[in-house]
Amino acid sequence: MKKTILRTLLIASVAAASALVTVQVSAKTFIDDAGRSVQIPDSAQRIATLHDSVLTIPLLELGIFPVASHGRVSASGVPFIRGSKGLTGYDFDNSAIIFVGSSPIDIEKLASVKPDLIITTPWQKATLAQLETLAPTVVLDYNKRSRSEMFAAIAEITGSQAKLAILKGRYQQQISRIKRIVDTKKIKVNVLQASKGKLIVWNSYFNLGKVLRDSGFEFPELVNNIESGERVSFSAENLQELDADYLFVTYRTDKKHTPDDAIEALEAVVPNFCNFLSACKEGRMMVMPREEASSNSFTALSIIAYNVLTHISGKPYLKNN
Amino acid sequence: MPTPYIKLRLFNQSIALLLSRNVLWLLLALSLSILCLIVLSINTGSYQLSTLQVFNILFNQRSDLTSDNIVWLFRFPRTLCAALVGAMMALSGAALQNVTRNSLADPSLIGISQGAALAVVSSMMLFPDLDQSWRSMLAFCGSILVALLILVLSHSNKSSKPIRFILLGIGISAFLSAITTAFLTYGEIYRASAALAWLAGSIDAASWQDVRILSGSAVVLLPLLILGSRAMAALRFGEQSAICLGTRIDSTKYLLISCSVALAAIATSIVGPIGFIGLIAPHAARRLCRSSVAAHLMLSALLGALLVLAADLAGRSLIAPSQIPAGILTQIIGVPTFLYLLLKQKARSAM
Repeated sequence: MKKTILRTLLIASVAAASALVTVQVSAKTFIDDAGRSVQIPDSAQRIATLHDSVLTIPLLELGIFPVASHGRVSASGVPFIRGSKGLTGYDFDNSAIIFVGSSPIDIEKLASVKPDLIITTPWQKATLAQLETLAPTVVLDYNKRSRSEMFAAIAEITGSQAKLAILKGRYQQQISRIKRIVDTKKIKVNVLQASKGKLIVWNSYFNLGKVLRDSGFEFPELVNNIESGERVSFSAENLQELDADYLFVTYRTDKKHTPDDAIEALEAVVPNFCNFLSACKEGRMMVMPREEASSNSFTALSIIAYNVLTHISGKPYLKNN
Repeated sequence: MPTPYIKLRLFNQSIALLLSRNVLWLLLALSLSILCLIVLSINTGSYQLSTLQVFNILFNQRSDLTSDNIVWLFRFPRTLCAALVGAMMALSGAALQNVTRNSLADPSLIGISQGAALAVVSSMMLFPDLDQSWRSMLAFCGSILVALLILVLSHSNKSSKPIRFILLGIGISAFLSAITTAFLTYGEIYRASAALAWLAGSIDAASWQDVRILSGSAVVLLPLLILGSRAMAALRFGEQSAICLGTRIDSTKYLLISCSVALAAIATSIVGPIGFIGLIAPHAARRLCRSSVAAHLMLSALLGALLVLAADLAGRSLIAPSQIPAGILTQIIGVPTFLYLLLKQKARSAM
């Protein structure tokens, strides 16, 4: 009898010890951007991302399918992951990713997919107090991290640093190619966006800005004076100060806009604006979809790098300068 | 023939209510409707739970943790919050309308909600690292400061006419809205969209802590309004008549306006600006049944609770998982109501 009790106690303590070891091995600690220490499962299988373009697309590019994602709803009522179909090929209609709403997401819908890890941003209105009751929740703040730092954090959380290194290598190769072919230091570029009668300029404009900066292009002084990561609205009076050798203007394809919409918005700021911008007058103003120019995506960076190289290299203008 | 009225005397006749049978029936019907809506709300959601499961969870038979959380942490406090916020907004509007003798007085029209909005939006833009838990306190302070400003400006030695209070409120409200819009236009785009989400007024993040704050405030403020109902009834005949009837005009008015502002400020601080409930509910109560001031306050509170409960339930279930904030739905109903009342008042004054 005594022997049986002792054996049972021994088995129980071994089981408890191994369970403890399992718990220690299967979780890691991550300090998120809200300053919280979060215990993250090492091999999270059911990740939910609560910002489509900032979190879901990077996760897909790192080869991980979230079980659920925040999304947007088109005018016809169809949910979509902004920019994803064009960049990753995946969306709600052709994958198992469940749409859980916008901001705020539907907390019950999120609960129904039984996530084991939630990644969110401060932009999401669903509160941490609610999200934490469903699964460990990590906050990544794009106001505190650059785009590449966001990618690095997502890779660290999901243990996909190897895949990230490959994507980074591909991007570096593309930037090196631009630098080899174009004398970027001699060329001034800028990205313009017109909205509600104002000219909005970023330092620098997301993916497009990153490619242009990493390639070593120059920017107008007015743009360099903007604090890094911030945007400033300018009036029509500043139009010529924002001129450059090459100008980039973007429009939203997710809202079915066309290049005409971008031009129309600029016309609303300054009628016949083209006459006041040398880049426009001489055919060096490129109008491109905003999804690739602004998404947090290595595929988008590739597309932008290719476009920048194609549009700027081999132009007679460059030879004259 | 039975008397159509029932006399209710409480606290050594400090509160004496004369309730008609119609009012009593209406109070009962509204209370039952609220109860039904609460039951429906607790049983409705994207997470699949049968009525039996919900019943079991509510009556202490433990289910899995997620189901428990869905009912106890998400649905139940959200439902109670919606009812309490609706009642408080409606009471605030009803009291303001009685005191100022202006049927268009509403917390969202005279700057109280706008004060809260400016305080929260400016903090989100200027101090993005500030914890979300500060928002309630900031919204409350914003509302109270605006109310104090309007009270001080509207009071002069010569007169303190109700119309002065309303007009100043509308003016300050427009001024505050302009500053808030400037923050949203020139601020960082992601912060602006987060601020816009708060401005839509939604009950999605309600917690038990919010329920405690709302119910505690209602328990303190509702009796004060009921106590002031006799003075409000006298004020209906105008200030001169009220003085002749023995009402201390200034102190009563400031006490009632303070209660009204506090009700709206506390509700707004918890869920954001939910507009027009203070306008719709008192008017609907008046149309449903002629009643004394105290009964009208109670009817307004119940109608307000019913409206916000319905708006929240519809907002979270109609196109789920997309969510329509309750504040947007109340505005869709409220703006036409406001225009109708405005036109009606104009027609009456033309006559």
